[in-house]
Amino acid sequence: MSAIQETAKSPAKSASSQGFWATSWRYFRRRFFAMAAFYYVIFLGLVAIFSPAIVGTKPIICYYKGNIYFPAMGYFHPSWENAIFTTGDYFNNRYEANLKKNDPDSWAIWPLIRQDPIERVGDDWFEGQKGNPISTEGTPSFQNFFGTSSVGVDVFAQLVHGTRIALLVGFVSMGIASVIGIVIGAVSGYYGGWIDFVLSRFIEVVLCVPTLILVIALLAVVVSPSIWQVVLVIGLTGWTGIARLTRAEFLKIRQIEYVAAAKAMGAGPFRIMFVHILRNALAPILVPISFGIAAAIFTESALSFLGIGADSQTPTWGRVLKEGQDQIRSMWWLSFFPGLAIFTTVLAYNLIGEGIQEATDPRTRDA
Amino acid sequence: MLTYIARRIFIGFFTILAVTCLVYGLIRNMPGTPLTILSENAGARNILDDRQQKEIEKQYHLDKHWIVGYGYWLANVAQGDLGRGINFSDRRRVTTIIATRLPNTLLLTVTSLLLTYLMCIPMGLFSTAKNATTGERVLSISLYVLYALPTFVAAIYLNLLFAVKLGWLPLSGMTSEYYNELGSFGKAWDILKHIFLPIVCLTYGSLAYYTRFIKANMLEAIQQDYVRTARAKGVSPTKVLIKHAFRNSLIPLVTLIGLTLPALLAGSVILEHIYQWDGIGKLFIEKIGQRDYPVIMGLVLMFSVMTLIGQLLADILYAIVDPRITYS
Repeated sequence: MSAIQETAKSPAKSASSQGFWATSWRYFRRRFFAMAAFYYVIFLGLVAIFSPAIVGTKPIICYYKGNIYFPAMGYFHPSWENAIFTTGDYFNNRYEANLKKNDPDSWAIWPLIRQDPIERVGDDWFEGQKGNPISTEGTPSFQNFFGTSSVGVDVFAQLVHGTRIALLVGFVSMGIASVIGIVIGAVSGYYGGWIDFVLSRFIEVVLCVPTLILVIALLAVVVSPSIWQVVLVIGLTGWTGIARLTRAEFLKIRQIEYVAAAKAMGAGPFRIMFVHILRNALAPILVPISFGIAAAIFTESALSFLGIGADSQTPTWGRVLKEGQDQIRSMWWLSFFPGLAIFTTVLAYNLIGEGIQEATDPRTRDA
Repeated sequence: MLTYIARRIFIGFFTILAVTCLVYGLIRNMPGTPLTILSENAGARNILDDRQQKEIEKQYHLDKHWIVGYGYWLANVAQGDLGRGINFSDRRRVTTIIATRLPNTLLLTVTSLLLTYLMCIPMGLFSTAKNATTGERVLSISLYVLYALPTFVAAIYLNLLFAVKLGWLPLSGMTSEYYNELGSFGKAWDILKHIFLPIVCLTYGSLAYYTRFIKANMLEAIQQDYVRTARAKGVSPTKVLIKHAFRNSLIPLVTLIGLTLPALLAGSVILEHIYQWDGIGKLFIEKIGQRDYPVIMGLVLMFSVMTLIGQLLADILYAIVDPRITYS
């Protein structure tokens, strides 16, 4: 509705002033570190999306027995790997030899680097590529950029595929946390009174237990948690900051005249809360969400690091780091590279949060 | 004010009821009980026979629904009894178990807190006085980077450098194996060597946070009218900064003290795990693994009471240092 009005008005009013988000973006763009962090996150996103094409042992596209397949999709979800390769002809991940043996006419486009994030690539996997070295032999080399783990799994492959997990944890868990936090904060701030009292006490209860302890207690309920359960638990425990901020914003904004005007025009509470007030409260709420993504990635790596995170079929940065901690005396590359990945990602989200805070706050804009 | 405090304590009482009930329900519903975990780990030597198992189940109300068990736990706590640990190796009173671990955690956290306060104030004042100079920029950026650096990454990097590469400091543990043979000076030196890295890891994050916090408050304070007045009447820049501006920026700092109280007692789960430091955080992880319900509950009770006291203290201190704030 508003978009239509704006386009209708624009020819008459040629020099219309920029909207709030356009202005904020303009100020955000001026910040060197915030923009560098922003590009870094985009880069991580690309790495995550194209991870099976960057590192993997499954062909991106292959022609086999008269059909075209995309086996590399199996890295996103095991069931997306065509059944003909897994249960049908039982390739057991050794694509090159099996493709040739079963169908001489087959062809395949391979990932840039032929390494696997879960298994050691052995001598017989690819022609002209030696098997990965094991334990202290696995120093960083041309074949294994970041070295190999004690059982010979390529660390570079683990980190590239771990990017997917890290971003997924950050976005999905904060998505859950934002929904819970915004709804609780909005209801609490808008209605006030006893509803606010009860919800505020509830927030206090959750705040009272240290986050990591609450996460550990919740995760211990499941025997071997999947990455989705870890994400869910981080989301369910990480909303308190967002809720408190939303509540404070709503307490402030509900006093403003336009809310009274909306009420006078007959808008229901749901509409006032989520159409009228939330829009104007969104900028400050984005800040704890951005910091929250950093915190979620931190929590997930910490859980994997403590050995209570997602199951062993999920390549996570924290698990590599845990192995690095166990082998710290002999294999430095196992802790150095995953540590760097976790650190830069957490830093980037913090810088973005800071950038949003400064770009949307008129007092700090011009600094 | 008194009615306000009384009301807060009254509400806090119910908050603690809710927290403990929630946690009790959670831990009782974890798969495995203290007994199954025990028989998994005990080996053939000291497996309990059925009669002993029944006895323990009865003693700790494991045979009843968790809400009943919670009721018993609550009744005992009301009489000042937190019970005894379930695990074989440690059947002492929960209060004793916690009390033996607490000094280790406090040694870390209190030292770290003192260091933080000692360093953050000069650094905060420096970055206010030299705002927008190169030196300040470098300091601010490095502090920001430190603030975002996860503790376990820092701990591992420091270990790589100081313990593995240079070999100056021990990798983990609280004392060396030959600790008891050392003289008193040697003992102190040994503890210092072991405590150095954990303290660094525990301090740098809060140091960065507090310095930024002080700087932000100071930048607001030096724009006030009374600072301009002081400058106009010829007070020296240092005096303006410390006497006029800094004293007034202390108000928000006071609230931070209240909020650090729970962290002092809880320690750090991850750091104590990495450095094998026998503190509260490590105890909590161990006891979660053993499903030692009474100890877990004792710790959760301590955390939540401390969090609430910290919040209340912060609010009271706030009203004391800032007369404009009243609670009615």
